[in-house]
Amino acid sequence: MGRYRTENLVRIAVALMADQMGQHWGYDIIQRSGLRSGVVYPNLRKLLQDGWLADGWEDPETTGGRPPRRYYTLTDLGRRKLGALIDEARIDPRFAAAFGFGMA
Amino acid sequence: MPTELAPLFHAVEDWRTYVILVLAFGFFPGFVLRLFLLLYPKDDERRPELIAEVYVLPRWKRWLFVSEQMETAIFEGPAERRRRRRERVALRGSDRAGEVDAALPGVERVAERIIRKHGDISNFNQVKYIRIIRKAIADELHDLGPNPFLNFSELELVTALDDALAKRRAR
Repeated sequence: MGRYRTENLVRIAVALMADQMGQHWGYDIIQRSGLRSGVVYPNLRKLLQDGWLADGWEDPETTGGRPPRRYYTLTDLGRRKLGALIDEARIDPRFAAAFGFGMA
Repeated sequence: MPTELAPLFHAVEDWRTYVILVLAFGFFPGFVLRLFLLLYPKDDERRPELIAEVYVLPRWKRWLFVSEQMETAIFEGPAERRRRRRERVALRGSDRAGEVDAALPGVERVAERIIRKHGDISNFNQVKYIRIIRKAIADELHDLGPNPFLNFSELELVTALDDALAKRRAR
């Protein structure tokens, strides 16, 4: 998991784990993580490739004419891995300083 | 608008460039984004995903989104195309390896026939050696009609037969 321990991924993990069972949209993750879109989408793609996320598409009949969006959901593996990642980040001073996690 | 971008706008002194930039990123961000997404392979899911996302964004954020995706597409699009091309070549290579395996019994059979007819031909000069092999290949193709040999060039067949004869000599 070494290559994943980046500040960007911790932010994305926090955004995703805020709603572990829900559907996540790219733009919502951008807003909640405070990261640039150019950073978020490549990270989401890596998480998909590793099986930490699953994806799907909106039903075109419910979008009111705009193109259907892609959504992401956490897999069981993703919940475990990202949960562990956040736990590690909480006690890692680098990430604690960056995100204001408590030094519990 | 982020303050660090302000100098960029001051740097655009030519009003025509400014108008083009405003039109492209302010009014036609979907069009500009689609252009840059062409860098990704045709069936890449990022194409429809990012196009859908840009229309969900508030209008004033779209140009920033497009410029960020432009940067990502320039770096990742051609890289993804190269990666897929390498995969296709590797896949073709493995198919070819399967064909070669399928043809090996045929190659062994022809090598056997050459030895029965001419004995050990390793001492023959190269011209005669190749002529015998080519004749054996032509006979095989003529006698049996469609067979795995038909998928190979003559050079490949000569090389395969040469290998098979060398193996027999080594036994």
